[in-house]
This record gives sequence, structure tokens and C-alpha cells, in this order.
Amino acid sequence: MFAKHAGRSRRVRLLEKMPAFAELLAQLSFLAFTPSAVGVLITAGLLVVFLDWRISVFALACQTIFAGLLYSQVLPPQIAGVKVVVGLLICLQMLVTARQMGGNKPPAALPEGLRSAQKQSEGSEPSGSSLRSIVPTSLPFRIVAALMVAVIAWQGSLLPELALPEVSPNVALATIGLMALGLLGLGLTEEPLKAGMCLITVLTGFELYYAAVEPALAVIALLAAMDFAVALGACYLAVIRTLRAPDRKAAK
Amino acid sequence: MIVPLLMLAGPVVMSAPIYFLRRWTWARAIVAAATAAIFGLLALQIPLDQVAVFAGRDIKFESAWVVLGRQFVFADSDRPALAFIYLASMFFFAGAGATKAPRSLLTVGPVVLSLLAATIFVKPFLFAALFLEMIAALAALILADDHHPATRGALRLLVFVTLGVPFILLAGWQLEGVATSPDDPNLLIRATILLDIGLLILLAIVPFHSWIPTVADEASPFAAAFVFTVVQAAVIFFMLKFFSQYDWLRHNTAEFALLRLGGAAMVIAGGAFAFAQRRFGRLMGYAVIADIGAAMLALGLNTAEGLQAALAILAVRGIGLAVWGLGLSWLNADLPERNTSDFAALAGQAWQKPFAAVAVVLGGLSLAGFPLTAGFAARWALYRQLAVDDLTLALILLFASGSVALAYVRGLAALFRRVERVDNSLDEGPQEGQVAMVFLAIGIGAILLVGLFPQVLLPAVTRAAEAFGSLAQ
Repeated sequence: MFAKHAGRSRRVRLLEKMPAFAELLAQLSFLAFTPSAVGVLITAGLLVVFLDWRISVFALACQTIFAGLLYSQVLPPQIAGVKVVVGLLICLQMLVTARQMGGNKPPAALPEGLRSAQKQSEGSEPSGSSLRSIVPTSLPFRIVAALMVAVIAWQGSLLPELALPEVSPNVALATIGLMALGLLGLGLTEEPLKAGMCLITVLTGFELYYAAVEPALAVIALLAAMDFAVALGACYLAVIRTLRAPDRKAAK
Repeated sequence: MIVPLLMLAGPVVMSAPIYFLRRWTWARAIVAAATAAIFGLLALQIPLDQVAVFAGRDIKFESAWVVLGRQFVFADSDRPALAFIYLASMFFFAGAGATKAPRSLLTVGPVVLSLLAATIFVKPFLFAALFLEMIAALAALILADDHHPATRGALRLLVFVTLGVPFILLAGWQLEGVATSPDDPNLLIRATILLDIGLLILLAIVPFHSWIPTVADEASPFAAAFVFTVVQAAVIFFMLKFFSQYDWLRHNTAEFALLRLGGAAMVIAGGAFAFAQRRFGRLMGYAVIADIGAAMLALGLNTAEGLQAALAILAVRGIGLAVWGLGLSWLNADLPERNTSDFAALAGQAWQKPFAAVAVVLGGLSLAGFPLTAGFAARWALYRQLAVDDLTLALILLFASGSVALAYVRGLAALFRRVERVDNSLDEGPQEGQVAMVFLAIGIGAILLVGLFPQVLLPAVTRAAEAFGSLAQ
């Protein structure tokens, strides 16, 4: 009994030693400027370039964390933390959806980016064919398009006509870059899960700026609810899209 | 009792028992329709900021609810818009029992009603755009299901609304600046431009219209009709609130010219593409586009009569769409290609399902503003006003309506075409099912009744127009 009590008190001490989110953000504040702005651009670029669901979800999760660091420039750290938690929950939602979709269908019937999902759910290692699924056939075009848009966003953020004086130059770069790359991604896909990720990217870019000009708690809560709703809609459509008539007959 | 909280939470709470009744379609339809009816009556009758006796106790019905520093306020002027949304939804929910509508319509529909009420209550009302975005996301759950797995239309709706919302929110931020620096004209100019772009996208004005025909073609006809009626009505009410609230917007003649321009573009696009369609779904999509354009032309007149005509068009659109959706759901229910609305695939169906066939054609003709149908009176009022103001626009609208009507006549010819059949199904009489026949007959009767006696809608339309006070003067 004494040993059990000692173990519990050790756990409590460990929890007490764990930094609060605000402290964590303070420790990572050295990343909250240019590295985060570049980070969100790279992750948004990865979302545009790669179709594979694992790379996309990982990129979205990283983007959420980098965006959280940028949020800490315009919002109190606790609220920035809540934004990160909301973003990561959306990533989790998309991860579960992608895995479920992969398990439901034969690879040939899946969208290109999800073909490796079933192999993983079956526990096999990525093979040559799944590597082809990770690297899309239009890779060179996607890389060039993403680079062009990223450069245009970077140059645009430096133009006085497009200046966003309410936020720092890093946040302005992230805002314009996320929105531009998100729109590019939307233009390149009809797959709902991917489109949902691109929509979340566009919304993250907008919210980075809007949080600076309208930091009201109610608005931030509504925006978070809106992000959840968009992710829910996209995930639902992604699951429905994989259902085809033969499956329904088989299910019956 | 906080009335906005009741109106927002009530339908959401009711969606839980509706979900658990999922095995009994009729029970779900009745509970959902009763919920919408009760809240519709509450919207019309509930006393605001008064003490009333309820269940033997004195209860004060408060009209405002404060959440995290923002308010949800139920004003008297909101009653007609709310009542329209709830009562129109009631008919859709009741009809869902008689058709093969997606199961999620009855579960998610009440939640959509709550969000629609939130768009009306929220202050500052610019934040209604956020609720419109949530509605678009939930509409995806209604528009696609395992029987309608095509997702392009629902996804486009979600994408377009997501792209429109930031413009509205930024316009609101600029307007807050106007309150602190009223002498700065740049703020007003920027707010106006942002608002125009946001509304352009939300109202699905050309070139942001592509989701409408796609949804009409891919989704369940009844679910698509619900979205076109209730959700698009909420967007129009949202726009009207802008015009009635902001004097500078109302007195800006360029804004009304833009409304007319946008309306004309919609009417031309709808009319031009409708004629070429060979599927009832896409045809309805383009008819809806032309109808939204007609409503915008009416609003662009900037007169009290124009506002009344626009609201009447909005009201009768729901009748036409509901009857069309009900009819088409039954027409293609037993076909091998179940979701098809192709003229060729539905050839000869009028002999087997006469009520459904008549409902589809009459619903479509009503949307085209054909004489003796529900849509005619409002269109006629608009033609008369447009002819005085701008004869070209009146002629464009007339040609577009003619194009939609002719396309439906082609559809009618296909439905009545004799097709060689191996079975003797023609001798078995109407195959819609008795309950469906009753609902279809009620719908057809409603279209003809409103067509013959349009004055039955007049008091409601006048009251709705008065709710937008300054705009109706």
C-alpha cells in the first residue's frame, strides 16, 4: 500500500514538473518568428505536393503546431494553446477517417493518395507500388506550382500595397502563404479529405490575421467550431465517396 | 427563460430522439416536423421581455442571451424570417416520411435549423457568416449519403462558402473601424468591396454558381430542395439585414445596380443552360439559378414593391422545390439506375407514376413562373415593375423563364413517351404508394391553389417586408 502511495505521489510530482502550455510556448518562443512562418509554408507546400494521406496528415499536424507558435504573437498563450489543441484534434479526425477509408476498399478503388492506407492497415511495409502512391505522377508540376505560389506569397507579403500592418511581417508571410497554397491545393484536388485539409490551411491563414484584428473570445470559439464543422463535412464526404454500389450490394 | 437559448438548443436536443428513432421513418418525420412546427409557432407568438404565465408559473421571456461577450438577440422584426425557416422546414420534414430522402435529413435538419436561427439572432450580425459556414458543412451530411455517394456538389458548396466567409468577417472589421473613424471614406469603400465579394460568393452569383446544378444533379432531390430553399433563404435574409441596418449601403445606388447586374447574370446563365439540359436534376439547378437571379433583380429595384416581390419569389420557391423533390424521388426510386434524372431513363414513367410525374413538371414550371402555378404571381409582379424600370431586364427574365418552361415541356414529353415494356406494370395502376400519392396530391394542389389565389400569401409577404423596415420604405 505504501509503495502504491509512493508511486502515485511520484506521478503527481512528475505532472507538477510538466510545463504548462504557456510555459511550453515561452520555451519555444525562439521558433515563433521566422522559423514558424517558414515552417507553415513548407508544411502547406507538402500538402500541395504529396497525395499520400500519412504525409498530408503529418504536414497538417506540423502546420498546426507552427501556426500555434505564430498565434502566440497575436493571442494570449493559453488561447494559442487551445487553437493548437483544436487543430490537432482535427488532424486526429482526418487520420482516423483516412485509415477507415483505406480499410474499406481495394486499393484500385481508392483515390491515389489513400492507396497505401489499406496496405498499412493490413500491416505490410510500403512496397514499390505504395511508393508510387506516395509520390504522385504529377509531382514535378506540383513542386513547381507550390514553389511559384510560395515565392509569390513571399514577395506579396513584402509589397506595401499588400502589407498587413496589424501583424508582424512573419505572420503576414504565413497568412498570405497559407491562403495562397491552400487555394492552390484546392484547385488541384477533388478528393474531399485532401480538399478539407486545404480548406483548413486557408482558414488557418485567415484566422492568423483575423485573430490579430478581432481577438474576442467568442469569435475565436466560433472560428474553432467552424474549423471542426469543415473538417467533419470533409471527412464525411471522404467516407461517403468511397462507398459505391457494389459495396452496398456486398454489404446487403 | 432565455428565448434565444430555447430556440437554439431546442431543435438540437430534439435531433437526439429523432436519431434514435432511425428505424421508424414515419415516427422520425412526425417528430421532426412537429419540432419545426412548434418552434415556428413560438417564433410567431412567444412574448419577448414580458412576464407570462406558463404552466401555472410567472416566467419572464428574455429576448437576449449573452455568451462570452457576444449577444444573441431575438427581435420582433426577426419573427417572419424565423417563422419562414421553421415552417418551410416543417413541410420538408413531413415530406421526408413520404419519400426516400437521406436519413440524415431528419437528424441533421433540426441542427441546421438551430444554426439558421443563430444567423438571425447573433449580434453583430456579421458573425452570422460563421454560422452559415457551419450550415454548409452540415449540408454535406444531408446532400451525400450511401445512396448518393457523389460528393462534388456538396464539396463545392463547402469550398465556396468557406471562401466567402472571410470577406464578410473582414468587412465587419472595417465597419467597426467606421464606428471609431467615421470621417475616413476608405474604410467604407473597403467594407463595401469586401461585403460585395462575400455576398457574391455566398449568393452563388455567376461565376460562383457551379455548386447549384451539381448538387441538384448528384444529391437526393428532396435534400437538394431543402438546401436550396432554407439555406439560400437564410443567405438572402442575411443580405437584407445589411441593407436594412446600414444607411450608407441602402443609399448607395451603385449597390442596387450591382444587384441588378448580378441578378441579370444569374437569369441569363440559368436560362441559357436550362434549355440544353436533358436531366431533371441539372435542369432544376439552372432553374434555381434563374430564380435567385429574379429575386435579386426584384431587390435591385430598390422599392417596397420590389422587396415584396423578392420575398414572394423566395416563399413560392420552397413550394415548387419541395413538390419537385418529392416527385423526382418517387420517379427514379425503382429504376435500375436509381439516382438518375435523365429524360431518357425516365421515359414512360408518367404512365406508371402519374402523380410523381405531374409533381416534377408542375414544381419545375412553378419555378419558371409559369401561369396558373404558384410561382407566377410573384414573377408577374416583377415583370410589371421591371417593364417600367428597365424593359430589357424584363425581356431577359421572360426569355429565361420561357427557356426553363420549354425544357420542362421536353421533360414532360419524355415522361409520357410510350416505351415497350416486358412486364404489365401499366395495367397495375399508379405505383407511387398511397401515402406518397396523398403527399404528391397535396403538393400539386398547393401549387395550383397558390397559382389561382396568390392573395393567400400576400399578408405573410407584406409582414415579412415590413420586418426589413427601412428597406421597405
